Amino acid sequence: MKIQVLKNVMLKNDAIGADNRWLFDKKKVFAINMTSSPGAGKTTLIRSSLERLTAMYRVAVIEGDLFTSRDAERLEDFSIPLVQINTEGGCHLDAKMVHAAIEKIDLDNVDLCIVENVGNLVCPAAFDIGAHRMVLLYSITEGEDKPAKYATMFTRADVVIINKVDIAPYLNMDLDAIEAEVRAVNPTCRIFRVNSLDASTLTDWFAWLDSEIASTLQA
Amino acid sequence: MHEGKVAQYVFDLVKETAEEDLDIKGKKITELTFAMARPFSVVPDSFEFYFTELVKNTDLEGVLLHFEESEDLEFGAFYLSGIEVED
Ligand SMILES: Nc1nc2c(ncn2[C@@H]2O[C@H](COP(=O)(O)OP(=O)(O)OP(=O)(O)O)[C@@H](O)[C@H]2O)c(=O)[nH]1
Ligand SMILES: [Mg+2]
Repeated sequence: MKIQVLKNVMLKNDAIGADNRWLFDKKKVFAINMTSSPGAGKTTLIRSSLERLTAMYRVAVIEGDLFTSRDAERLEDFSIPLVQINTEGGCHLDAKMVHAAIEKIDLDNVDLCIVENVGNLVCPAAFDIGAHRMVLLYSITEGEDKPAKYATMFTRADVVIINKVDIAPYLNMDLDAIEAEVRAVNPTCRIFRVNSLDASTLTDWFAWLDSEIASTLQA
Repeated sequence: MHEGKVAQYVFDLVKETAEEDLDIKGKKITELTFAMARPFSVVPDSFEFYFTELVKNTDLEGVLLHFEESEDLEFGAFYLSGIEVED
């Protein structure tokens, strides 16, 4: 006898993700999930952004990594709440891990929570961690075909940050063509072009964060 | 690569469903059917590998898995859609 059911398997994760988002909302914290393939520049962008962001907001960072705490160590000179999650080989953060991490942070004193996911352009797409927005860093060194090849991640992204634009001339890369590849799989996301080593290229990124944080505080 | 975790989610979900559903409770489960929407977030072969490993020496050992594509579910969805039990 076959019994029909219709149960979302990922609800096991997503229900906890929804709890996390509820908590962020309640505490008026804007939370972002920073994703990318390994080495696209997530920690570099966070570092370059923190100087400006910590002058304006109370920022907390959750660092996801398989085994090391090297990314968290790179942010230690900022005196901010900083929690390291080690997935012990896991290829993504899930909602439960992020839940355990936010329990260590005093969210009453945070405006912006940045979660750096494990470098991986596939698995994080399947796990809602409870952030408000998914930000995907796309380093131009990865080649212009990545949005089409890793469409799940690119489709889920609210913001795509095209990174390492400073080396475009050496790679013979056409940034408009790259942007068109992103648009082809995700017509509505915001797209910024940055060099994460140079904060002067981050103006649009900061403006977007400012407006998102402002609407979270007003909500 | 995340299919091991998804296998655990399914294992827990089947156990819970079997507890709640009186048509299933106490019976031997022989097959599970899954409905999935494109772009797929779970790779069936990989899922089957982890699931088979996970259910060894449990009531679910030997259960058959079926995967069906669905156009009605949301983007990337992975649902448990059917449980076959011995009469
Ligand atoms: N030229 C250039 N190099 C960059 C830029 N952004 C990051 N890098 C370099 O790219 C390398 C990897 O950067 P990370 O910030 O560690 O990348 P990540 O995404 O955090 O890496 P994982 O956490 O390991 O996935 C470092 O050597 C950075 O200095 C950029 O905009 N331009
Ligand atoms: Mg990093």
